[in-house]
Amino acid sequence: MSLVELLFAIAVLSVALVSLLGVFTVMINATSKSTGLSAGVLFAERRLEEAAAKGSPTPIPEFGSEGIYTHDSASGTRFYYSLRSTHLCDSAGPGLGQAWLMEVEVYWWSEDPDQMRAGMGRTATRVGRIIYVPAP
Amino acid sequence: MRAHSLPELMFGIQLLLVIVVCLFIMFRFGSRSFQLAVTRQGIEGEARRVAALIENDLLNSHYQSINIIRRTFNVDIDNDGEKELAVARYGVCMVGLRGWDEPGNFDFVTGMPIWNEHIVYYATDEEEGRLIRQIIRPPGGAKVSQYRLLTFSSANNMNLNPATNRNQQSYITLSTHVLDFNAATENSNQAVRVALKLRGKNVRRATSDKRVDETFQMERRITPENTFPRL
Repeated sequence: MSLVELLFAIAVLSVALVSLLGVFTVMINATSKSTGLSAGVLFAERRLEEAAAKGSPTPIPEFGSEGIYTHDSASGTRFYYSLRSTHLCDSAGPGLGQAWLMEVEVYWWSEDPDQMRAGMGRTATRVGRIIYVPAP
Repeated sequence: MRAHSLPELMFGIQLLLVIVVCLFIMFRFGSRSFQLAVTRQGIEGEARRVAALIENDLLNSHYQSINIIRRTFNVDIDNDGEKELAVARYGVCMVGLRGWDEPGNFDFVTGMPIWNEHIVYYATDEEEGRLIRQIIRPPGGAKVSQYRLLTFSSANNMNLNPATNRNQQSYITLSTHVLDFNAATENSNQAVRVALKLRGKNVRRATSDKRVDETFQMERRITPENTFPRL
């Protein structure tokens, strides 16, 4: 085996190893995003449930955050949310209420909902619900 | 064909060593990454399964029947017994109905369910807590009240061995990774908050020998839909 052949073989092996390393790194990132997304959806649903229970939506958006443990038990991840309510239609007659669309956007690892994270993309999720507010 | 010289042989062995070490590091990284991913996905899936069950039971239940037993337990959080943390290992009891498709199980006038069992969720007080869902039925198949089960207590219904619990009909272990399980009622709007934290212990980091705990936390807020009268 000549030196050139040897170097070529080592190069091929290195490429294979680096590719495998990349696959495992992608796998870790994917599971991190998956758990973040699950926690985000559960958090968004809870915020939506709480907002819907209040029963008096306003077009003024609401912002907030909460620390949730999604990976390391020593440090939590901060999940930010923005809640927006859109008035869909007025009451169709006397005694009838109004319809509102409530949407919660949850994002984590960054205070900017459009922030991308390397190897993961956008770490945000959005959950919405149409609620009926009875006439007073 | 000539034999290899000593320097050639030494170079070959060194090259082989480097390749073997690289392969070993690669294998270790791969297996630890895989282990981490399996643990992470496992506790996440477990949390979602538990959440779906609790949510369904609470949603079908009656707010006035919900009874919570509060208790705490000290767990080791740094895996060497030096640091301890008091965590919640609560128990939640609610009324339930066996046979939602039986017309005889509903009140003829009000249409409300005629409750016939209690459902209890509780976390055991041990280092790696288990979350148990058990069904309690009164002896003789009697109906149960829509109000709290008066005999519900830690000693009666939240034992380490669920088989020894009083009047238990059946039980199932939903999780074996419970770190914290707590609940609270909201009287103002007749809702229940349930929080669960699961922990996968002693998982090695992919890039180091450090052992860490993987944690997944979730909280649900549920309004029991069969509450009557409503506020």
